[in-house]
Amino acid sequence: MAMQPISRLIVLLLLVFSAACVPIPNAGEIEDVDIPFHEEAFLTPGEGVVVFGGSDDAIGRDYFAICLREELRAGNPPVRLIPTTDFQDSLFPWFEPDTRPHNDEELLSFFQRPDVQARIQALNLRHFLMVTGSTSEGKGAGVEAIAVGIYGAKHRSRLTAKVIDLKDVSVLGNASVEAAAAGGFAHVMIYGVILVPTTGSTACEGLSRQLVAVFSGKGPPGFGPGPAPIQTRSEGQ
Amino acid sequence: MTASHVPIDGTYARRRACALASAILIGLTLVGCGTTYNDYEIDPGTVYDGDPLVEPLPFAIGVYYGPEFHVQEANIKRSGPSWVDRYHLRLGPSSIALFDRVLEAQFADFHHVELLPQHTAREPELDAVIEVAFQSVGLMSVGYDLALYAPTGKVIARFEVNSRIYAEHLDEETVTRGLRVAMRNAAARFLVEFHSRLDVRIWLADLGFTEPLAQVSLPRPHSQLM
Repeated sequence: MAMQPISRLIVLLLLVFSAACVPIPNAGEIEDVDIPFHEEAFLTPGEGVVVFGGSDDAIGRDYFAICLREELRAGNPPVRLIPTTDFQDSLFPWFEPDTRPHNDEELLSFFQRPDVQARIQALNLRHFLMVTGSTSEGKGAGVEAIAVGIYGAKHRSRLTAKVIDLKDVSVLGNASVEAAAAGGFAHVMIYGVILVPTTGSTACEGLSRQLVAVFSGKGPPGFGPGPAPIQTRSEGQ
Repeated sequence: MTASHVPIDGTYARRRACALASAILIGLTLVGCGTTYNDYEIDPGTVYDGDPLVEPLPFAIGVYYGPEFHVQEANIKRSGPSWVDRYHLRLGPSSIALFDRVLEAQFADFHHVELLPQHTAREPELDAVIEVAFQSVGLMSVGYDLALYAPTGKVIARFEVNSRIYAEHLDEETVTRGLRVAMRNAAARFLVEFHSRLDVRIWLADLGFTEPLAQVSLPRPHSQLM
């Protein structure tokens, strides 16, 4: 049955509008990597890490913490993750939002307590990771560019993980990765594309790769042959 | 059927179709403009069931939860342009389980009492009685009033612990999680701050307790808390 002119018009309009804005994710690339620790961060078999996020992590909604946990768990080899709830339950009442230590000095002082060390050893917990992340948008195109339907700006996400070695009770340092990608849109008449930067997940994946490599004893990617195998460290203990 | 019937029937059919379409359109508009009501039953369940990292005080304590504490309920509404969320919160049973666990760890000997000391004969086996009551309940917040009584009924100390958790978007799961965190946080504050209170220290000294407790200094108040 032939389509009525009105039906054809509706179909045409639907096609035009559905094609008007096509979102395209742009993962971008990693521009900066800083891993200030290597062999001292090795995990011996069975040892685990716990990942803590910012204030939103109190109800498990911190994007960067969730992402890093998932990436570390799926790493090659996977990192043994201690659930934050197990960690908090074990150290209750000292790691709730209003009772947890807030700076390096308080954290180290707390982790050095013999009763705290006993609980940490019971969990076979080696590293405490405090994750912070942010995404910013650079200066975009001017009003003239927007007027003709073009806009673009560089987005950057920086993810930092402070790593505390709970065996020696020392701050190993802040591992960080920065990812950048272009975002924006381009329109001609009603057709166009939206470039959606996904630098947050790129930075998260990048940091996870670095940490997995260091924790497993391979050394961070691009940092030479890597340190000595795990057995050397185990024998020395 | 005559030829003259066709246009009459066709007009009638078109009018009928038009009326039906209008009714559907009006109906859809009304549905679109209507308010959606969502009802949520929130019970945080077991908030904490571990072994707190505290050094128990060598005393016998009684804990009193008033009748209203057991059945504490709160109804809270949130609304938007076309929706109303009605939350029914039940925090009594989970709060009792939480404070039982906390007080059991805080003191060497722990009992439930049915009455406050001023309403009953002195119980020599108890060194003090703690009354726990609700001060406030919100979607992501909880406050408890605590009173410490001597066996004679005299008030030794009164204090409150409040906890509020923030979230950008609220839904059933977030509210449940937020309340659990807020309750744990309030209980944790009680455990951590109890020893540092001057009136509690005087009471402990009166009972002959002078041993230093293994604690780190109290962290600065967090912005999330009242």
